[in-house]
Amino acid sequence: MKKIIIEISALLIFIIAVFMLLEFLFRDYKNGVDRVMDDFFKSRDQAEVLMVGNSHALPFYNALKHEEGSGVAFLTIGGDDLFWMQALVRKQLHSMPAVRYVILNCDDELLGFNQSLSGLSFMNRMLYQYTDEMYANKEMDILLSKSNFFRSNRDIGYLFSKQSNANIVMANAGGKGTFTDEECKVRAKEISEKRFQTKLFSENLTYVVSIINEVKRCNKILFVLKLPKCDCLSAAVNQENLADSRRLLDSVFMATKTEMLDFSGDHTFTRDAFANPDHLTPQVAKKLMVKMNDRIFDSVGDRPIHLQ
Amino acid sequence: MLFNSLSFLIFFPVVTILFFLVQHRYRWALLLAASCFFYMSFRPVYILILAVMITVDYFSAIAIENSGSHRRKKIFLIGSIVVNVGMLAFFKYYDFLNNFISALLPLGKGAPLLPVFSFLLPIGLSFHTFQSMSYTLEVYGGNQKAERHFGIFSLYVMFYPQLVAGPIERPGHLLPQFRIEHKFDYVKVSRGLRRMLWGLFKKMVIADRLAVYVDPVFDQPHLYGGFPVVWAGLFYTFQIYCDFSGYCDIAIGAAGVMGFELTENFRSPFFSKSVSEFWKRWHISLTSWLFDYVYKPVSFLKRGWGKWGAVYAVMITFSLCGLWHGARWTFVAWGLLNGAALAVEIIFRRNKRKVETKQPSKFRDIPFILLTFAFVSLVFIVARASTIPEALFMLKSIPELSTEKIIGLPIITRFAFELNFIFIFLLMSAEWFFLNEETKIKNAFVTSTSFRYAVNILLLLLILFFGVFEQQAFIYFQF
Repeated sequence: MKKIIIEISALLIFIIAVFMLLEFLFRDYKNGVDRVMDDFFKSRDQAEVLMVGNSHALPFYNALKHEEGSGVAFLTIGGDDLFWMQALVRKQLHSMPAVRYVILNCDDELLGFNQSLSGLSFMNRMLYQYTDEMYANKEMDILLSKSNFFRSNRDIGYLFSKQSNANIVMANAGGKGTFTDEECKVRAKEISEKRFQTKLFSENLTYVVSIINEVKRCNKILFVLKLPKCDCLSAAVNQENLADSRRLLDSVFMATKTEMLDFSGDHTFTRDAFANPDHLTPQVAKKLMVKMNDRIFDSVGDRPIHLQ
Repeated sequence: MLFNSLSFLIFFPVVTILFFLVQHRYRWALLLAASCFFYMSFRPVYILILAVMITVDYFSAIAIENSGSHRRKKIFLIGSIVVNVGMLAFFKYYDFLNNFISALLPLGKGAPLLPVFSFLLPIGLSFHTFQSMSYTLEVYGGNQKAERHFGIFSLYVMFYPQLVAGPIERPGHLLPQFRIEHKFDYVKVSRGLRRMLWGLFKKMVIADRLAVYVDPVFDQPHLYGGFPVVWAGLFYTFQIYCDFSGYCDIAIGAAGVMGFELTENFRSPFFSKSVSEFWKRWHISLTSWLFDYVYKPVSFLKRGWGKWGAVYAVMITFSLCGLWHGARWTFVAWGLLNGAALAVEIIFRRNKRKVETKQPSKFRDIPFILLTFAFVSLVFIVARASTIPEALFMLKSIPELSTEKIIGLPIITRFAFELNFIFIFLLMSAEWFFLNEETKIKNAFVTSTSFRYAVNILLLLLILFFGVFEQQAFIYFQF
């Protein structure tokens, strides 16, 4: 028995040592979520507006991240689904006394999406420390969410280059309208078919309602933002799927008297406005914020986003 | 409690240490309590089904043994089978049969004839039903004495390592092992732990990684065609193998650490040279169960038909095999396709031997291995698809070989995708080395401690760096 105990102990010590070493090497690792959240914590005490969304809202974050005094805090994380958005809102909003408005970027395709459809389940570990809840809440996931190495999604490349592979959640690359029609079609199929399932509607609607209730509970005003779409993308999406999604979302927003900032039918945004088929460029995002300010002013008599 | 969960990481050493600390005469009670706890961690209420099954089979077997007349023995056997199959049918096939019968009847325009119960299938029901049934069948056949110790019999049905997904044990093999005192044995413990590690590697590093690419295609097959279907079929074949054989490795290893020997369920099935050989190497405990209790009696009844009697028996056996896997037409079709392939082998057996002998001996196996693997992968697409039309759609789309539809699969990085091929290669190489009687690597593994350490460390590191830690249930749990 002694021999096996020694052998098992030796193996355990070895693997624990490797793990500790990895933890040490990844101690300063910042994944994409950490980066957004670092900026969020810096700005949350002064922010009057909280913007919540996924990578589609990242251009706003990228446009304002170097501007001080914009009055906007961002919880915009690439790959985020409605579960995570509601988890972030429920955890963070009550600690933002200065916030008066919450802008939720909820495009129609979001209702049929969740993280597992994109193979992004590892985001559980990245987000947990900012939400205190996760899909399924399994003890193993909770444990791994405390590990620097696992929170990096085991980004081994970092050991060699010290560059974190955070592009998954920071994705916003591309030039002005340099994408092809084919790329548009592919992306349209992804967001409205391959990563879209109608069976997720009811679950996702509960998250939307949860966000609406949380915003009301904290005495803030909610605006739902629907972003403009590139023409080639709009033409190629599965119209039937997105129409079902839109109908359901709109009925919830109408029933709860939620204000809308709907730019999805705005065709003044030409191909040059987009960095890739479904992401605006930061410059255009900034221009859109002027329009958003105007719409909010029409609704509540206030222009809360301070643009330089 | 999944084998790849944190709870099991605590449960297993605690039970094993207690097992060696407790006196032999109390070990059955410890293992039974641990098994109940293990099973109840999934869904506590379903332990009642096991309790009914155990009680019925325990008393039926004693009644069979005590009965003087053959007729009375038969009545008790039939009673036991009716209860076992009845429970299986009710929980697993009720809705399937209800829908099927309703569709056949002109009344009600296909609306369900009987009330619909959407039960959650009790985990591992098909496995322990077959295991328990084999006991009464063996007692009836006079090959097994009825077990008088209720606790030990309960443990035979509930032994936790193989409770939820086999291997399906026979009473003659497992029951006597509960009577033997298992002393701590270094060789058995280290071999068992290594086996568990290998199983975890298969499950966490291969099967669960492949699931990322397999599930989207089978969830929405109409969106894919060509290469994604080929990949999904290929990957699913390896996924289900690594998932199920990984589970069995952990089960065999966990039992082995305590000195129990469970039946081997897989013997490198992808190196089979024919479909019949494949089924001798794949899910061996189920195949041998079906062979003994279905194929043999049916072929005996039809012995007058010659070759066609065997064909008839094989078709019946494999339709049941398909149905055993799940209450879906795709499983029935999968079983029938395998049965048909075996039937062809039976019919052309003599001709095939002639062909084989004409091939040069060194390379003759390779085309047969590839052909068998291709067939197995194709029919697995049928089994995995949700409906028969979806399966047909996928099979029809393969010749398109278009790469256009690849996009949309969650390929995070190309490296992550390509890694799957490296791990599959690693798996197949390991199996190849251990399949052959004498290889340098196999000898080194057996004789060199440092080589074994190196392999263990490599497996641990691969799990740490590449294993999927988001717990995914084993595929065969649903059967």
